[in-house]
Amino acid sequence: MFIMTLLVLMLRSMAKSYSKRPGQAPKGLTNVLEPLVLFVRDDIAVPIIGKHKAGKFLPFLLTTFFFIVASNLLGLIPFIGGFNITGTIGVTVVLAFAVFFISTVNGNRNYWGHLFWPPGVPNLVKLLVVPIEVFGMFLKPTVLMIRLTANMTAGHIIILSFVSLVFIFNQNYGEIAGFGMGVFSTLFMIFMYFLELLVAFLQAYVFTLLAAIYFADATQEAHH
Amino acid sequence: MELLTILFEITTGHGLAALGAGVAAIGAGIGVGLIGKAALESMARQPESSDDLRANMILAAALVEGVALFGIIICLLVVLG
Repeated sequence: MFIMTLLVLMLRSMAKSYSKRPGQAPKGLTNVLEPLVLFVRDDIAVPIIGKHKAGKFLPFLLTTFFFIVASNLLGLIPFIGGFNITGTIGVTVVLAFAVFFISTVNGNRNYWGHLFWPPGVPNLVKLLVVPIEVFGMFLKPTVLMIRLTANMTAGHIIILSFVSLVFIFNQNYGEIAGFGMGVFSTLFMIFMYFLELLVAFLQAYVFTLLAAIYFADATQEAHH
Repeated sequence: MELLTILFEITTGHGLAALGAGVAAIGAGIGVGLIGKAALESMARQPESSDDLRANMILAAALVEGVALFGIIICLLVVLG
């Protein structure tokens, strides 16, 4: 709720600044967010879906990208608990279901045809391939969901383990061991936090890229 | 008697889950290592395409690590459930 409010406020102010200063270079918050928006449009949506069809799916792709980036980054803040929402499976299952819903609703004749009647396959092998394809249609959004959840959760578990190691060493082996472990553990935690920043952006990029690939697959042209 | 205890510990203890997590880490290491090897060889062969290769390498590494993390999640479910 908080994240969506924050995102809506940021992106609405960005959109208003485009109409208030026409033709000039953007400044402020718009300047920060503009490369990200153009990155999603020019590097994810247009090369994969194609120029004319990308406009239909671009709002969803932009929403997903910014939501996942914001949630991942906010989930890294240590003391204020409860922000790690993309590490819970409840949020990612909704995102994956949205991808599944949109790709199923927008599936055209070529998509369903290739699913149930794959071309270029001998008839006996079709009996084997069609269940695999149908199972894959349900499995791909599930894999999207587990990938995002697992990456976020794993990062947090590693950071928590390093913190807990300090307390374990302190209790079992005395104060000096706890102090030495604390120095070593803090260095590792800082390194893991940098890695988590990279993973936050990377997982949002991978999710949006795979969603774009599934949309492009659903609206594929006939090619012979 | 010890053999029965060991067998009981294998089937109901958490030892096998930890072993499974380690095997998943082996898979991740081999997979990402192969991706890195191919990317570095290509960059050494043609340094101008270094930027394109770097972006695709990171994308492929994220996908392969996703598969390894499925194994970790299953092992976590065994230990915590």
